[in-house]
Amino acid sequence: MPPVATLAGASTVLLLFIAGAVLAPWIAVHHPHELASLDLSQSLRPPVGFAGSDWRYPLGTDEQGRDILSGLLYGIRSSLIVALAAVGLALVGGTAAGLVAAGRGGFIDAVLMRLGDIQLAFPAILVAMLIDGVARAVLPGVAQDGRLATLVIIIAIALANWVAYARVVRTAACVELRKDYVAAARLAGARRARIMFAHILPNVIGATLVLASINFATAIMTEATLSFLGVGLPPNSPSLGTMVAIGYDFLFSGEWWLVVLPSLALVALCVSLNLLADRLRDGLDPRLR
Amino acid sequence: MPDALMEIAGLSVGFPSPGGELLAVQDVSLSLRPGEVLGMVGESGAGKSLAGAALAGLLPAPARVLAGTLSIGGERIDMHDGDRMSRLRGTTVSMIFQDPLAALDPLMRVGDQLLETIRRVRRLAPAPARTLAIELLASTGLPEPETQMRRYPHQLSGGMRQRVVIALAMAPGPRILVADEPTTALDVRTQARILALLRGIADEQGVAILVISHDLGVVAAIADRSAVLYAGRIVETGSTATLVHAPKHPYTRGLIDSLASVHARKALLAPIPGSPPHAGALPGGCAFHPRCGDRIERCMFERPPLLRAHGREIACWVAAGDPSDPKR
Amino acid sequence: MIAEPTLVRIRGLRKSFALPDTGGPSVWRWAARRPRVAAVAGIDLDILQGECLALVGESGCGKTTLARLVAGLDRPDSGAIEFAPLPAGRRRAPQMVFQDPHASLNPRWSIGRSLAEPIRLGGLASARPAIEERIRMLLEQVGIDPGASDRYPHQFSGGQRQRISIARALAAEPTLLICDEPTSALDVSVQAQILALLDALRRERRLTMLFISHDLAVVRQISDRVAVMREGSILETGETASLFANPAQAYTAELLAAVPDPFAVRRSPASGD
Repeated sequence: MPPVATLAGASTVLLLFIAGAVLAPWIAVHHPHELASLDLSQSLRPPVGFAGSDWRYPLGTDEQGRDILSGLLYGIRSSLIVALAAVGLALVGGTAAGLVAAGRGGFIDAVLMRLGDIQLAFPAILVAMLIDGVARAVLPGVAQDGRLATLVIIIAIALANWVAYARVVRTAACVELRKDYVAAARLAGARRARIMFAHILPNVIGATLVLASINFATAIMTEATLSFLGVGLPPNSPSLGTMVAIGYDFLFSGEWWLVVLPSLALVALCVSLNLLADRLRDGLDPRLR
Repeated sequence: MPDALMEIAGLSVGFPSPGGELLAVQDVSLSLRPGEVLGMVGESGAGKSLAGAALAGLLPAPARVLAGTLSIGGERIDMHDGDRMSRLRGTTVSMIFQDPLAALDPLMRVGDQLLETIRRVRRLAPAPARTLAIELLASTGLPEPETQMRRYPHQLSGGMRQRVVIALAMAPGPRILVADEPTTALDVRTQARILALLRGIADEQGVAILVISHDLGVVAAIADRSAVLYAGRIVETGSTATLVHAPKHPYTRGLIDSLASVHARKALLAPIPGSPPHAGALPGGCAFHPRCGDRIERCMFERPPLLRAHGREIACWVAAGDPSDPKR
Repeated sequence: MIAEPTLVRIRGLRKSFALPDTGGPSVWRWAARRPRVAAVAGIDLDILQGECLALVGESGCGKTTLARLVAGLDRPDSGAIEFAPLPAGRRRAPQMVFQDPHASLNPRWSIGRSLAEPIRLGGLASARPAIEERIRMLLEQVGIDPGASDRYPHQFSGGQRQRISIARALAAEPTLLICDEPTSALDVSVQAQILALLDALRRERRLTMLFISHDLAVVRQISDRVAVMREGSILETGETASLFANPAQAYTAELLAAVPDPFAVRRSPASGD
């Protein structure tokens, strides 16, 4: 278990990031969709402390003169929104699937679980890419429209991740269904749907929350990876992954900050999330109840 | 006692908690002679299982022995000493538990588990070990021991499993056997047979047995003497027959009175109100006084020690007829 | 139509279960028909109005299966369970009290909510104040503080939880109360309290009770009639007192003889008294 100091550090980092993401529209110098504010003469300035820097752009600028710090803020914002929505969707969908499978049993249970098993045979990134690719083929506007692309990515990541929730919920629900309080509810006249959602759900939700907190960091990385590979958010939409992709080319010409800073932001975000998720899992340990 | 095989003196077991040390067993002293069966009776939370586990050196962490000495055959051992106690266990002191399924490795054949223990403790070669294993199983009344040895625990019935567990416990040739609720998980006919088996072991092999149970019937079936535990302390000891037919301590009386009987329906079945206290919330004075119909003022403030009266030991101001205290 | 005084008439009841797949080398085992074990193998039984009928037997004899069938939790393979019609024309489902006090109440629901469910779903009351009033009365009748309805099960002891379970069973105002080993998991002194409570409630409310137990002493204490079960069938039925005194079946006699009776304690020569 991490010592208290690490926990405090992780929380602080996360809170700073969240604050930055929330306040981005007010504190960012450059806004991603305001192309008019770009000034090419300011391009490729290094961060403060290095020769040629400008305090107006504390972390430097990119090849189009965009402020890196602004990019980070909007990128984190984007990452958090996508991760939150994707994990939320996976949690809700997976939990529902797990409850239905446990409640119905038989054929429906078998179909759902086998679907999940098949999907688990593929790495999540691959699944997300597949769904994303299909979306691009079917909906031509995805490549350019930031909003549509975001929606597709959210659905893709959610679809890639629902299985774990479904399994955990199904197993926990099967255990609960055997307990006497369920029989008592049936005798009182409760029907299946009521039993599954009013009785069983509160007793199985704990495990899903632990899963979700860990899943959050993976969702962020998945989105970043997809964007890095060019199949995530389009280049003009804010994304840490896209920043890394573009900035990678500039690494060898000396403008290191274009790739290093967004990478560091990703790492810091994911590490602090993982530490907190770890702590949450320990905290929800039934032994301590 | 002149020819006592084993004596425990002043055993106390506690475990740490946010509010300080919780005492689950307090100042328990027992003695056993060879071939004698001693019963320890109490409800949940009385501390009887922990006392038995302490004797076998099997206290689950975080519980630990706070005080107590064990004298076996003249040798004195400090029960704090984890190493000494561990060495005793599995050689001189053996223990059997309530759930035979939990005591047996589900992935190993029954015979192999027995052989493993025999080879470790008796250091025999495979062939004589196998002979001994079959003998041990047969002595517990297990039919067709050679065939059963190849079976897995889940393939045996509850009674057969418990016989295997007893064989395992007897393999090192212990002088003391601690049986914690040995028949609670068994059907009534199987229970009767297992109890007879245990009694037979005491009578024929001179093993001293400590039977721990919440079921007075079980204890009465095989124990010569018994001790009644309440809230971690012994409140009454004596011969089992006397305790059952003429209990003196109010708690013992209440227990006996609240027992249903197959022979007749009782008019009043529930004479003890309330429920047993937890280690963390023990009443002052005598721990039983809030539920006791005989209590006097002294009971609320002064805890009665075990007093010798009526041919046994009783921890009660009123029942022991303490002459210095005016009757209620 | 069943005539008084019978409340429940059971005829030819059968229920079997497929044995779980215990594995084996063949890949095709999933396709093979699994052997079935008959848990209830042709039961004929009458439960009379207002009586306490006990079902006794060793583990695996089918008494719990039979109880669940009567409660309506499982459906029989064949046979019939008929209930006598109530004067009001509406039959309320049998209610059950279960063995394990730790699993019979939803740990995430307050006990008030657990008690309200059968009241609401059974159409006994719908307005909040009426429901709460019923809950208060029920808690008082079973000896639990009526103001404790927003507490959670883990805040109560095992014996208290059984009382709450009894209250929940009564909340639905059933005519038949099925108790499946309700005292087996409790301490001796608490067992006695719960048995006394069940007995008192039954007489006050004129309930019919089906009491399942492996403990013959408890059965003697609380039941009017008893049915002895073995391997899915009923061996004999009769008035508890007379059946226990003079069992017709050898098996029953064996069971009775095997009960560890503290009052028949052996007087050992080693005792000092």
